[in-house]
Amino acid sequence: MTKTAKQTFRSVLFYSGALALSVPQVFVFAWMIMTGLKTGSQNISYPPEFIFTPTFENFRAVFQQHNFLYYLFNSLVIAGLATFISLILGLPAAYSIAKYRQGKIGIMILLARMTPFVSYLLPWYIIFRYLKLIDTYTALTLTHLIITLPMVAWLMVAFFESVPADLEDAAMIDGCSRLQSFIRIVLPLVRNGIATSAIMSFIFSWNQFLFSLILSGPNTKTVPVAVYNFISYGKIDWAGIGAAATLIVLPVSVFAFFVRKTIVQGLTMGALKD
Amino acid sequence: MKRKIACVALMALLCAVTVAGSASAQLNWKQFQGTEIRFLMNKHPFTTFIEPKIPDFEKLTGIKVVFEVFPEDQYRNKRTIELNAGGKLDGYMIMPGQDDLYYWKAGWLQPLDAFIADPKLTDAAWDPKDFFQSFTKASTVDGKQIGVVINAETSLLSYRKDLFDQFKLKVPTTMKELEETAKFFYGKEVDGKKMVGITLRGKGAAATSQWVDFLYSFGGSWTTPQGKSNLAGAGTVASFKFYGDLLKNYGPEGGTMLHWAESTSVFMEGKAAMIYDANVFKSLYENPKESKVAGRIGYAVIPAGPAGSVPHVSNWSLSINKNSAPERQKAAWLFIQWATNKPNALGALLAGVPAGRASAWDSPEYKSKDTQPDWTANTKKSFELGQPQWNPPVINVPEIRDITGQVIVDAIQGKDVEASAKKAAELMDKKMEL
Amino acid sequence: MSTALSTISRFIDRRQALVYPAPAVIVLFLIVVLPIGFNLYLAFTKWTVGLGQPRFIGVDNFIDLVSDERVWNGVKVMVYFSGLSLFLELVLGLLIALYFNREFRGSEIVQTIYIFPFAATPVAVALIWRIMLNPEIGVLNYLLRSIGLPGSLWVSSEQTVVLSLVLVDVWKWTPMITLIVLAGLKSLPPDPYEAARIDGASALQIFWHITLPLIRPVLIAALMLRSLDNLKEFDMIYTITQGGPGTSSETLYLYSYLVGFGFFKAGYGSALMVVVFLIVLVFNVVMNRLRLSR
Repeated sequence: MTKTAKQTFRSVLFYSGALALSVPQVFVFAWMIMTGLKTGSQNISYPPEFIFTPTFENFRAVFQQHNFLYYLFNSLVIAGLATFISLILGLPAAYSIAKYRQGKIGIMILLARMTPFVSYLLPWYIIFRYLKLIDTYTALTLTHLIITLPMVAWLMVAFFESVPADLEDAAMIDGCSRLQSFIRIVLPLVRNGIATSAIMSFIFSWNQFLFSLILSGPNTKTVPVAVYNFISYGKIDWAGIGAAATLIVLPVSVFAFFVRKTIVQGLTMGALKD
Repeated sequence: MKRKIACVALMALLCAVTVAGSASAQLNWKQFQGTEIRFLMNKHPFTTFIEPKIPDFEKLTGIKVVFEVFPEDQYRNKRTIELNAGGKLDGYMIMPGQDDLYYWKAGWLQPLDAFIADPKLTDAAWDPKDFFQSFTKASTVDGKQIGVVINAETSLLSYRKDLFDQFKLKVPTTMKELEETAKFFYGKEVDGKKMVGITLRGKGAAATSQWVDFLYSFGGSWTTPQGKSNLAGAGTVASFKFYGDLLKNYGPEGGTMLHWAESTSVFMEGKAAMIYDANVFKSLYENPKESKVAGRIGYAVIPAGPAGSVPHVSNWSLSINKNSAPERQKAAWLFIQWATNKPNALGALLAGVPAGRASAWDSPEYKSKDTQPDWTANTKKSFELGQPQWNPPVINVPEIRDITGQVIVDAIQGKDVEASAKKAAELMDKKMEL
Repeated sequence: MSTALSTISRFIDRRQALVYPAPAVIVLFLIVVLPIGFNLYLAFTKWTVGLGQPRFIGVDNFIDLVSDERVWNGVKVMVYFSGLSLFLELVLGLLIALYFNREFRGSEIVQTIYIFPFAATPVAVALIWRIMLNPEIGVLNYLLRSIGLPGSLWVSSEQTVVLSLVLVDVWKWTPMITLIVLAGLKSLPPDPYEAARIDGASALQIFWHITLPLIRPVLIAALMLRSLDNLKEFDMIYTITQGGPGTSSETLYLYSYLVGFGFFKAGYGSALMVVVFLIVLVFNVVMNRLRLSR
């Protein structure tokens, strides 16, 4: 084969690979958006309609009838709080685990992630009901910590392990307290990790369904729970689900896109070092 | 001038006395002013109807009503967990046929008889006798009424009137005719679509709600007179077989995953000649935005099996939490009373929710707006014929429904129905709690 | 005042190993250990929510679950679903990472599009898949039929339901594995490759003898990370099939939810959840051993 023929063949191979990888993703997302732009009867048509006149009524209904902005706000608050608290608690913990090789604490954190989420529901419900914390941001944030705190800790241990010990020693010789050295020297070095774990925490908390379902109320309903609003007795509003799904998935996907490099770095560190 | 003023004043006085007089004979709607009550509701057409009207109630009584609405799948969970954890919950929607025994045993249902009988709490105009008796009976446990019916459900055979006319078919009145009609349509090309004869629910436990009509029509029952499981009884097995074969041979693909959503979608898309499901779906079938076959549907009672035409009747009710404070219970009662009064029942019926009051169905407003008289007539006929025991007479209803559902799934898949039913009967005997 | 603060900060400094992890540990104890403890207690009782109090019955629940056919079915489904999806995600993740590792124009854009599903809310996309997978009116069957293939029953048949669920899982999560492996590939040392090329090794030999062994730790780490969530997959299966047809897609986890929150048998349900936890634990221990060996 001549060089150019080989090159063309390679190109073709690569670009068909690119197609094979992108088409499924694009298709599903496009279908989701189209479902939201159709009417109920269009959505059950067969053959499915690819070309149709779109209607924005469903999207409008999601915002107006279903209080969607409020759910977005709730999701934002809870995910934000959970992430923030996880960082405050998790960063020192991960640092300590890395520095003092406290494997046992690491295992405890892992245990939290290994436990089936369903088993938390009944005990939490009883406890929170007793403490009158149902339908509060407090309760939901606490429960989301189950997901975010272990994630922060697991990712950050690897990052902290890569900080050379001599840097800290040097700082302390210069008169820093350990706390100061932690805050001023170590943390900036691992800021990529902080960014990654914050992002991952936020995404997973945002997508969390089961806890929010059982423990939320009208004041704290989050976005994934809101999708189920379109399933009522005697009717599944596929068009509404399409619109809601689009509005739920798009923000977090766009967000993930913009921070993808950071995510990659963090996941790598977590996976490579151990 | 003075005379005129005196006249007016006298008239005003007379009016005031009359009003005051009649007020003292009526119940004082404002007696619980300032109370706040919380209701847990299922996302149901009735909820959609009554929720916007709540401000009217609040103005009338000064009681603040908080509604929390959940989709059906999660509603039962939430309601049970909340009642158990003893939170501030004053009233809720319940399907007595599904949960009354369980909730009664758990002490979560407040008997309403005392409230209904008390003229200080119940307005004479509320007229308890106006409700269909079978539904009031269904909302009664141990002789005590625990709920007020808000929607009266049964199942109907809905069919494509236009196609029946086109092919000169008559509506099936026996199970054999049903099978033949389904066979006739299966595979036929109509409007460029390949039809299926009939569509039914097939998804395990969820399907039992519809299959139960076949159970009774074939002479089967949940339990024997001795109180043991009758799932392996002759009539019951016959109903499993018939239902499963119907769906397997003449129904849509993937019958075992058909929930009402998928089943009604197939019908509304125009791919099924018949569907047997809840009467409440009429508002969906006849809505041109949702359904491609709106305006072309006929409604009939379930065809007769060996034991006759025995559809089931079921209902949602509004109930009061027994653990709620007495003041709030009474306030909740005022709400339930208002939500189920004659005007609201009629309004609900006009909005597509089959009401539980005879007066609503008989009213001139409804009759003049009724575009599907066969639906009305057959719904009422079903109410008369209907069997309220649509669930096994046990406390752990979901578990037994689940066991029964497995047999339905096996029947649809063409497995050995007798063996499956026998196994289910043994399991039911072992697990049922009375 | 400042002396108090400085005493505290000196205390923190000296007891760094104690103080730093303490808040996290305390919080985790409260929100994790207490509920798990309660669950464990319930697993040894008989209790239907609302009916009386939990009654201690020893290990009866565990004896019952051994003879419960549905438990074995649940384990079987779990092994089938997780085994297949994890395997595919790993293999495909590796292959696709290798593919992206080659520089070619536009790979950035493709990568970006490819990663999209990873952050998507599981419940929302699962509902969309549910519509697409409908055998009568779903778009997937339409596409298959329009190119002459027969439609599939997808999640409506016992034979194909788990495969369909695996398809959705792979679609959503392979990108995450790809990202991890890709980063791993990019940080491999170049020397062995130089040496191999000088020696004239073929691409396949290079892959098998150099890349694979070097990337092994990354693969296992990615597997462990993913398996934590995959073994406890709930949202997607619950949304699309609820365990059906019949019980052919009912993992043990889903069954435990049905028992605990559908039948409200909190005692037996808790026992089932304990079993799920043990399965996840054992899997992770085994994986960890694998990772540390060699």
